[in-house]
Amino acid sequence: MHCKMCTLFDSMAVLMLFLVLGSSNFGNCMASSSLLSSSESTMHTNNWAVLVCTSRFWFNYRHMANTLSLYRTVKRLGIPDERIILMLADDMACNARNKYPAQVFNNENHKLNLYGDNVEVDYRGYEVTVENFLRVLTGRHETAVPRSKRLLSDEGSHILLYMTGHGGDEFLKFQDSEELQSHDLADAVKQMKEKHRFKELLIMVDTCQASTLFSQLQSPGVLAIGSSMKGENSYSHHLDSDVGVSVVDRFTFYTLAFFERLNMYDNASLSSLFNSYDPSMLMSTAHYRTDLYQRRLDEVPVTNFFGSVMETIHTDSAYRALPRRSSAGVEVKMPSEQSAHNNEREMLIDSNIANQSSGFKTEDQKGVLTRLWDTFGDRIEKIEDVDSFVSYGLFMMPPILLLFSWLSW
Amino acid sequence: MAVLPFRRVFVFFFILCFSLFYASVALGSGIDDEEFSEELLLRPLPDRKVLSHFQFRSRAPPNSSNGRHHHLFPKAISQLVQKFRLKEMELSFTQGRWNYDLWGGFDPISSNNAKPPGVELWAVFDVPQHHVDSSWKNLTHALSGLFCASINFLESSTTYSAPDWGFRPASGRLRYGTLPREAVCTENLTPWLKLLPCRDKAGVAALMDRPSIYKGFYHSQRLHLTSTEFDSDDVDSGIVLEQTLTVVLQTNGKKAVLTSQETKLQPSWSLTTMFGRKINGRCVLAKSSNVYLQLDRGLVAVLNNLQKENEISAPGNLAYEASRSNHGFELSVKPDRVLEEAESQGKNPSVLYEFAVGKYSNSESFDLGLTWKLPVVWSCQQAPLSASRFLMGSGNERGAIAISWKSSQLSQQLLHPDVIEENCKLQVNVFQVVPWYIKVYYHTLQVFVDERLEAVSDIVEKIRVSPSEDKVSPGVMEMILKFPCGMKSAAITLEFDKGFLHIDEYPPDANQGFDIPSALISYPNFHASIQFVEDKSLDKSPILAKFQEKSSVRSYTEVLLVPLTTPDFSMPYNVITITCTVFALYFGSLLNVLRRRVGEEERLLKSKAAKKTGQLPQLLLKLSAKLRGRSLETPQSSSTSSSFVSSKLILKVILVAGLAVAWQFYFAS
Amino acid sequence: MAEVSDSEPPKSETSQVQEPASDFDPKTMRKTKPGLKRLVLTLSVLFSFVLGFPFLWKTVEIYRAPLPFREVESLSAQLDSSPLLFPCHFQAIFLGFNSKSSITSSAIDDLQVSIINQMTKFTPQTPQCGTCSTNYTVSVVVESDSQCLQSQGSKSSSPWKCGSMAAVDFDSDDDDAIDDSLESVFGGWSEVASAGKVYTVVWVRRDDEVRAVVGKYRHAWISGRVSEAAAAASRMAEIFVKVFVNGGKEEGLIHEEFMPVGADGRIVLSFNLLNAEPRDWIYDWDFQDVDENLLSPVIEALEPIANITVESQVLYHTPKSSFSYWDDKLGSYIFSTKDLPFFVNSNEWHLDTSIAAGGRSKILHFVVYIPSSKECPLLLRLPDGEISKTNGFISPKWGGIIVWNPKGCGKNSGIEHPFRHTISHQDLQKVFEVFTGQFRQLFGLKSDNVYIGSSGTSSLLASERGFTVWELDVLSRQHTCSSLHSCATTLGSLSRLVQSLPRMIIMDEIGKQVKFSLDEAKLAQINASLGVYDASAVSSRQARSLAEEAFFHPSIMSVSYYSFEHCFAVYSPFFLPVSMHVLLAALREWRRYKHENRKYLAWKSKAVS
Repeated sequence: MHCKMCTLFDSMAVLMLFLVLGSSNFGNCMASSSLLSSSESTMHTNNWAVLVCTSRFWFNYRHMANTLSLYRTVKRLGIPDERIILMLADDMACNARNKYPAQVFNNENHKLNLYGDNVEVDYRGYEVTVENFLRVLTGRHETAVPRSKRLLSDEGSHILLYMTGHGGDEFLKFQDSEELQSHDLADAVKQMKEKHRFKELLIMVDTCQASTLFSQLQSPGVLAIGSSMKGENSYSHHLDSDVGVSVVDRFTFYTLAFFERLNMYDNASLSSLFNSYDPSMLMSTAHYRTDLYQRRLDEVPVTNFFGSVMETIHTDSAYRALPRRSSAGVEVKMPSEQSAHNNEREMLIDSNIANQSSGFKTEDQKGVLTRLWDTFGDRIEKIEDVDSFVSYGLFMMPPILLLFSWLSW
Repeated sequence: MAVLPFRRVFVFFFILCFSLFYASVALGSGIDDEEFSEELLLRPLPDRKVLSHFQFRSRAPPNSSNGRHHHLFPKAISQLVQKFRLKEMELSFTQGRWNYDLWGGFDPISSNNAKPPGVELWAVFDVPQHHVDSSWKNLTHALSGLFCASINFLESSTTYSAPDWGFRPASGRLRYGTLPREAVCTENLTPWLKLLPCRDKAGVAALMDRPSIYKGFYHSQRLHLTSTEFDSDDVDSGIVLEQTLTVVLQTNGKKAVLTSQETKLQPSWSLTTMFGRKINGRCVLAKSSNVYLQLDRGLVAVLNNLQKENEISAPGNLAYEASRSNHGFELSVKPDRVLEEAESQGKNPSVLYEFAVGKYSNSESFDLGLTWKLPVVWSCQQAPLSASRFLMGSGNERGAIAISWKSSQLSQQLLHPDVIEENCKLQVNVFQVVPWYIKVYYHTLQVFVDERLEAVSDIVEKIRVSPSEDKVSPGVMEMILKFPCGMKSAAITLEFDKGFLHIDEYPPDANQGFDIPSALISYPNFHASIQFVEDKSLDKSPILAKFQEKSSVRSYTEVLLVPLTTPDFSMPYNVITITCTVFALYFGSLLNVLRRRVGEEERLLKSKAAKKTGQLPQLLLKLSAKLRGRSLETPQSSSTSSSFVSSKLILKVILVAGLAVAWQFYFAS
Repeated sequence: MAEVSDSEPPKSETSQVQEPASDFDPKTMRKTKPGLKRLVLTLSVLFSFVLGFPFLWKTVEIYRAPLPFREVESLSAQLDSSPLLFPCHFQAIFLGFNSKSSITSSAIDDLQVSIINQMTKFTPQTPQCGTCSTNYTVSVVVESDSQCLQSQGSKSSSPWKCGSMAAVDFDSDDDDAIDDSLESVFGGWSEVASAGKVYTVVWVRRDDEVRAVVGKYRHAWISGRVSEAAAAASRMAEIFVKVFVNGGKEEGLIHEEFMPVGADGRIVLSFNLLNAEPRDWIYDWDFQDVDENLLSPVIEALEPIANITVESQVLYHTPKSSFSYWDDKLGSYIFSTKDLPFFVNSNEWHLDTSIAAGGRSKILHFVVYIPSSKECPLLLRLPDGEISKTNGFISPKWGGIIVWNPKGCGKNSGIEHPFRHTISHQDLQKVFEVFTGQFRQLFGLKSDNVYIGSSGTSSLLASERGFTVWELDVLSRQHTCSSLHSCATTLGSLSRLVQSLPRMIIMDEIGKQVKFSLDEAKLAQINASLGVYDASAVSSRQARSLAEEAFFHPSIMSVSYYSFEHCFAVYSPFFLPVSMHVLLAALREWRRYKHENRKYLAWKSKAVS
């Protein structure tokens, strides 16, 4: 019901048709080149988050609430502000229509003011464009652009990329004026991979037909989850009659419900997060791609993406420049206990794996939700149909033209 | 005079606490002359609102480490100054519009801190003339990163201008730009607070509860820095950073049932009712941290009159025993000092109560409250003329901008002596920037005085116009007008045409219309400054120093909203497809005409018609014959052909419909 | 045209009328030559179209500057195949060996050979990038008061003057004095020697315990008795390889690519003094002084490796975010290494406020944390239960943190108007020593001044420049290597990108940058092979930053806005139908012409016969 815009306006139909065709064979060339540039040797050093709200206007309040809820969560779990790129397409908090100035709520019990006291928005208003978004991902800025607006990640970074707004089949609308196509996203991610701008990337999309947005991804190390499958809408959760609009989307709402139970030291795994999505509650099926991701989901704690744990090493000894007697009195400390907490963090993770015997496999789920998977299956077929149909249509176009122009002699 | 003992007590107190403070500073470190002071000024406004004006001032001495080592002064700011060689810069974020009529237009706060809505940025650089633009661009980027705002939109040359003398007297390498529609919210306040040594953790700034600030009718957050790093001529005072936050708040007191008496009574307020917080002690790093309560001249006059009416109560003026309470109102906290305006035209000097926050702490926190006892009605001192700007004309093609002035009662009483002799002139400076898509025709300037059209030459003293250049630079108009003192009202009008933007120059919400930034009206002959008598023993507090600066009275006009024609942005593909198809048809038919043999094909047809051939080729032949518009000789064939026409149409229709159905089925989900 | 088209058919009519008698059937023959007008017309149209297409293509094509793909490939291949090796020269000098039996030169050569063997034992088989492995020469000098012998081949390379130092010079206890005197002797060498640096170990015959000292410069000395030659050889070889070449660090201390230098070769050291609770006490420091006296030598020592700028600030109201607990036994508050990851309170600590720092330069934060009076003596407890001496820790690529407890804290807590203190110079110096240790740690160097090898420990003298000369050599070698590698990978990925995205605009500037960075890389390699460390480090830095600039050039963004599909969607509605028309017309005309021509020929042959 909220996705009026999700349908294509027909003037774009021709364009889209070609886009779909072109992007499909676009992807192949990426795969070939990006496979040979995958370095797994580096360790996970820092976390980054790129949170994007792409839709403007007051009635899209909930999209901003989604993004701010994620912002608050990752900040609570330890990602510092200078490592969060927050893009908000419109100003809801101090909007003239907002009854509660400088406050944004994602629940009708106004317990929690998402806007808080020290929010930092990096891109806002008209700055939230496809171009800027791609620039942030690929790191190609003008030299004058300050550090706080750049994604300064490196080969040891885990990046969380959250996008919400109005989407459609293989595109996401920015401010109702332009689209981010799925192959643009795949392209940007591929470039990031080429430059070792991330170690692992989690793409989280809460739009209509979200799963189509990352259908073109080919780069290894990328994990993607979308709120809805192709042909599904993702709906808002509830309407706050006091604010006057619906304040949060279902997918994000249940994501937050999952995270509210966690704290910085927690070790819940990604699979437990993904399993927590119940299609009947979401009224859409959360779809995720794991084929590009190497590690098993139940071994990866959510804090690998949603939190930040600084890796520290104790300083053994000062460097005394003052002349001293020789090695008398210098007791030697081997760097054995360095990053001790890392080791035992690993231990924690292992134990966590142990008690999470309810590991998650795609096949298992087939047993559980057969009906769901059947629908999924024939949708998959349908998707292939679409591609073949499109190409047939293209190849049939010349004959048809031929016929008509011959008829018209 | 009973004032003196009172004063002496507080002088002593202040000397004491400051000397103590100085001792600490001296003990602290010789290097640290960086100083910081925080102040809050409260002033009741006639329309049941309260103006609260935070002012923070930090100073960095000029040092050899050229902006690399800092103690109190924010590192970011001094790096800004060093990197872009700023001599002076002012950045203001404002939401709402200062109500010049009700809240006053003739005092330092209104002329310095009333800013146009959105973002206003101007900066004076100390770089060679041809580098100014590039460093302006870089500055806007740096600021946008620093203050979480899209100030970087000011980098494009269509948005900023280089005023010559209209904005500030003798402004050499100055650039000026505004973003009227920039939203102002918490994310702008956060970095602004980060520049304070104890951000909002302690001191006066701890009052800033975000919701209650942004609930206000007007809030303007301003940052002004002057640096004498680069010019050696005058006394080298390093970098002075002045941050002010001006908020006009509704005093949401108890919503009890108001009797007619109480409705006339001004609402009582306190810091807690306004901000929901108290002040728990000063910021320990501040050199001085005070709270002031100012009663402006109008209010003082009213109160004095009240006092004269009922002489029963204790005699004397507000200055001394009023400090705690008088019959007009009552303060919940006893002020530490009471300052009076030194020279004021009119016998009613404005009064300033000073409260030192230093002696409060978590245990006993400072919560200033004001309770009115009698209903008072007063009005603030207004600017000599009240200016307003509006649009004329209708339609999407052309229109006109008009600025009109009305003389306030003040101007008469000010100029009363001068009116006697003739050739008394009231000087008004106008500075306005107009974006390029509003093509203003400056030759259509018309001046009306008292509804009479006057010759431009004898009103406009001096004018400088740099016309707009499409997609390159905005139009700037600076003019000096001299109106006759006696006049009641005046107006100037300028006609303009509306331009067309390129399709990707339209913002996503182009239907809202486009803003023309506010014009700046200044009255160089009038100076808004309040001189308070205070004993020279202790150094002047920055806010009082600010009050005493002789700055000319200035006021900003409204922002104008101009609707432009907005195209349907999905158009281009339709247009491309349609035009291409038309071209194709034209071309194909032309080719047919060129290479057609009429007679021969007829013969061919005849012969074909003679002997029955297969169904489809004959059909097609007849179709083509039909298409050529010539009916076959045999009537039956013509009839058949007509049926064939319909069948062909059906064929086409079916094919198209099939395509459409398939499309719907597969794509429109 | 119309009359033309009308004019022809009558011809054939007449031709029909003229001779009905003869067996002329109009189906198969005609009398007139078929006209060429329409054929020429349609063909010309067709050809004009065919010719027009290239021009159209030219208009829609995008500009791509040529990139030297082959050179890029060759550079990366070359770096992978043959890692960068620097030439080094080692010299072993034996002093005061007054043996009755005069030492023959052959014995010396044996000694040289054994040293070389030992060194090959120590050096890893696979030559690592940025070392001297398999690329060194060794010369041995044995000097006694009677004679002075040098090994073969080392006459030229080692300008050691016999008798320039005697064993008695090493008697003093002051190692630094000895070190300086050695430097005064050897000082000139490293400049003189063309083939890289010369590292020297002097063995002084002494009758007490064997004791090895590595100096601040490029030499070490061992004093003590020599049991047998092999032991001495191995000892020397170890110092040569493990200390002088590998910098005396164990592997895995900090990973190689964690060299904390920004992509543009800059480092910004931002020093922060955090007063957790200024209501309790306010501490300030005179960092200007530190900067001038202690920091500047370090910075200039590191000049070839990175271009370092320093800034400092004092922050207030900055509590830490991890917990601590009171320990009665120590009478202080304790936080353990488990809490370290959560120590930094990024919501309250606004460290990253640097505007001076560019987009790609590296910022290292060094933080002095002064706890509030509520947890005043705040100590760090290590996992093995003892208390850290430095009370500080680092985080790779981020910086370091020191907890500094003010004197007599806990006493003057909660006074109303706190006085300001300044950290005394001695304390500041201590803090700064820890900073230097952390800084070295970030560069992957250990700071406890001993090296423990398989054959005994040797003490390392500390330089007041923060880094000793031989450590700087190690650093610049590794830095050159790593930055050349990253340069190669960056250029490689850029070229892969450009090849895989055919619609990407590439401006000339990018091509230039790529070219320059390739040139710089070559220069760096040449300098490295010549053993000019600083120059090679600098030029490799240049190469890397240029490559990064080329990759991150803002103009490479047009991929999404003018894709090929877009172009196709725009042009096809016109060109598909029109081309159909033209092709069909040409085809039909051609067929008709051939047909008519056959008829004509048939008639002709008939007529002739």
